[in-house]
Amino acid sequence: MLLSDAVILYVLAIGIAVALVNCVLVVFVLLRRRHRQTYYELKDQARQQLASTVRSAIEGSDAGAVDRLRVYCYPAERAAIEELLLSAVRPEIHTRITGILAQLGYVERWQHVASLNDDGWLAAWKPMFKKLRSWRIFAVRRAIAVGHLGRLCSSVSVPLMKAALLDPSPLVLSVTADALAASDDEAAAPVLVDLLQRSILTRNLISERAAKTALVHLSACGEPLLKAFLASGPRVQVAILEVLRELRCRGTRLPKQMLVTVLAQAATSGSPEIRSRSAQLLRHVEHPPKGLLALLLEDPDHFVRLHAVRTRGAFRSADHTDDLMPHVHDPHWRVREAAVLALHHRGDEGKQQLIAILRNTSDRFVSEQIMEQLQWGGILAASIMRLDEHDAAVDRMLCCKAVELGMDSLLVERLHPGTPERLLERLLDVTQGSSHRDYRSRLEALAETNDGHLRTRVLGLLTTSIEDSTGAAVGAA
Amino acid sequence: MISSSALLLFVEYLNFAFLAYFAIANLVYTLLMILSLYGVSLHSQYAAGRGYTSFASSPFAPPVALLVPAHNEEDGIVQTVHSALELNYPAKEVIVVDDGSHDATVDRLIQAFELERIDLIYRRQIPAPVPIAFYRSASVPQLLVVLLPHGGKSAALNAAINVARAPYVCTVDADCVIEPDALLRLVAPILRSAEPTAVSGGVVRIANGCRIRGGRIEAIDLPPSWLERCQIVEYIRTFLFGRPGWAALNATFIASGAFCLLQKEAVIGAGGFNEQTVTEDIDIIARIRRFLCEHKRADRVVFTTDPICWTEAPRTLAMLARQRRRWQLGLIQTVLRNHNMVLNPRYGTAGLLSMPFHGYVEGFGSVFEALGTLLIPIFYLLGLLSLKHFLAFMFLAVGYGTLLSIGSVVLEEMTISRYPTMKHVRTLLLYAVLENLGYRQIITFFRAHGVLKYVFGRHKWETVVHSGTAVKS
Repeated sequence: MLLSDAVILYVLAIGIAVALVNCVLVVFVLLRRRHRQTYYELKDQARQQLASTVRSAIEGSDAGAVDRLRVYCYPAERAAIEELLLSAVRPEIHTRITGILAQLGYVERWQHVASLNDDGWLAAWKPMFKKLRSWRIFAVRRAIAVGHLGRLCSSVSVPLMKAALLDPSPLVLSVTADALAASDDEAAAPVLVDLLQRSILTRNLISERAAKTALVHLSACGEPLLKAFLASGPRVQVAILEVLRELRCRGTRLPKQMLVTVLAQAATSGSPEIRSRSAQLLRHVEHPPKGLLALLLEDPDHFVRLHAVRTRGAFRSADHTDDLMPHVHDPHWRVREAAVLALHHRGDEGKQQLIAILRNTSDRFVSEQIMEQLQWGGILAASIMRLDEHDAAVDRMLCCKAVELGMDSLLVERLHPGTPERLLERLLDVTQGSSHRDYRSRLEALAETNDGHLRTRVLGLLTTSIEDSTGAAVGAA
Repeated sequence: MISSSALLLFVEYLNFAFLAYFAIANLVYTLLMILSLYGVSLHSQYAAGRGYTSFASSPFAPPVALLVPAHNEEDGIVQTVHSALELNYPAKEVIVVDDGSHDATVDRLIQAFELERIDLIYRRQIPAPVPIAFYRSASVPQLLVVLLPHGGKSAALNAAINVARAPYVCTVDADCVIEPDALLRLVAPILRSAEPTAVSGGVVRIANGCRIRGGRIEAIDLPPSWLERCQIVEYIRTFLFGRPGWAALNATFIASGAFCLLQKEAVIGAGGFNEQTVTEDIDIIARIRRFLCEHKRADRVVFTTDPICWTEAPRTLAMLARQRRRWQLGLIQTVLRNHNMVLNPRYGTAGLLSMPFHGYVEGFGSVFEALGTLLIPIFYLLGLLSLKHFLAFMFLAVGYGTLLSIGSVVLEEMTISRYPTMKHVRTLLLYAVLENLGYRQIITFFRAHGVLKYVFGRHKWETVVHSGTAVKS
């Protein structure tokens, strides 16, 4: 026999064991749900019951309040007290709340869970199990504890976070970085800058994005960053420039002279990544060094030119308009797009310049880019509505150009019986020969609903349209 | 004339083969469940305590384009787009691609978002149909609607990628409701990890029975019918231990297209979504893995149990059959199209483990499983099989499945725990048992049918009609 009785019995025995395990699991999950419900009910009750006591402890109006809170030792009650204290944190009472948390034993417990106060033999075995401790499965509780410690007042949390930076787990490190950022303490700045450098150079420590985000949230890191830039390699410099850009976006003041030195170095760097970030940063500098932006606008790398054009576009002074004009004809589409967008946002003068380029250029890519922007900005729609006016030469040119480029949906859409007759006639003029897929069906609908000379005209256009398409088909054949 | 001893021998060998199949499958599922405990429970503990608030306002969160292909989705499209626009994420764009709908899908969008027609420059990075029209809204600048001639979901996604500006794209089904923090959680592996990530898959839950208002899940409940409840347990099992288990082995092979984040460059490098398959979401992961391995890139393919997208499950057996046939057909197509990845160490654990398992055990093996489910009881009733052998089969084929299903409900309860009341938990536990007494066998037959359709060359997409069973207000 292939399967002996012993094997079959073994399988059946496992089956019985599985059935028993199922029963255990079912009982477990039901009890767990019941326990959790009870836990949350108790926690809610404790919150309501202890809110006034906690408030008194924070305000200091009741000397015995903290001692009364010490009595509550059930997990739900402890969690309620913790939540009440942490939710009440404000800058003026942060130190006091930290003190209460310490008196109630929370700080010590978190330190213990985060392995920050291990000494003696405990401290000795940690390096041996560094690899294990870096695994997420063993790091989650430490990360949560570090997160709690990070919410204490900065005088307490920053030294603890510095200790937490020795943790081998990337998860704990990212939480530590966030906590340092939230502390808004100047002492945290060099620590975070160092963490950023390590994250870029070691690659599996903490994500670069997490480190940069933490730095951006810590407003006091400008000067350490600028100093670090001047002493770092290219990869770190890119990250630092990005952080500086975001800091300036948020209005953080940076030491001007250092910033100018950094920009000068970055704009002339051999790395296009650095040069492009310098162009982004220039946008947020009030009086940028002369010549730097002009240098970046002529950069051989399109990514640098793209950001330089965007930066130039952000400066509202009209005399910079000429700098943008050549970039409308840039070989890379993204630079062209940015230049067109920047001109469009310059106001009437910029828009007029775009229209002038559109009239004079034979470059289809440039024409399409400008036409797209004119649609975006509502200029084409406005031009369509002015077609029946007396001095509509420019509007007619724009509409004809749209038809020529095949970007005439807005025009063809208005070929319907509801359009005023005079405007309809002008539309028929400019859309003549359109290759739009809906053109013929629109004409047919107009022919059915209109009488008189307009109908005759529409029928004539339809005939012409059919002949053109037949001719094209014959030509193709 | 076959002698009785030959027949008995044949039955014995067949029974052995069936038992071996179920033993292997159950062993793999058990390993996946154990691995999932590592991935799911502690991750959820961390997520619950930690949150993603620091990245919600991070300027370094990468922009994401949410791609919503839609075909005749007039009932839910506005709600889905609202849900996408209101996601808590700093930089996103929403691209709805209408795949030749002949209902009021586009009209509803135009009305709801005051869309205006615009002619955009269309740059093709992936072969895709040329759009008929574009629509944009002045009041919702991050929304773009693209009209295409009907070409299928893959073509719609490819066209959307061509117009997307963001470096990451997130595919979203048009009938899905996404939780507000879901995108942030889906992007979290990219934000937190020092290693580049090409794919991040998320959890899909069944919205049947839930109350939805304004594109958000307002109240979670279970649907009334046994079919939908069984599907809920099945989804919990799949998304809480199946996929996290494979993710723990870095062998993710399937990420649901209903809510999945992809690196745009990797999708373009892989050639875009395949228009010749009926399950483009399975196919694209395989192609991305191939692209990454062949270009020696160490980008990760991850799965996260945090983010949640709610979708409607089929309410009738006929619709369920269509869906499962299609999935099975697509699975077989993908594995066979990429057969040189199977058991190939060059493609890592995905090639060595998950692709062969999905292809040969869950794919072709479903025919074998269906045969066993049918034949073994018949053999027993005909007296060709002893009671002990029959019970052993029943245990492996049915009984062990209850452990996996109950285990997944336990995992749900210990981690995400979305169902609020004790009654829900009791119902889920009950259906974790009932699911194995009929439902799984029915699904096995549907899957086997899908495989046979492939074998006999009938590769047509079967439309699943949604009836809107989630309670909407």
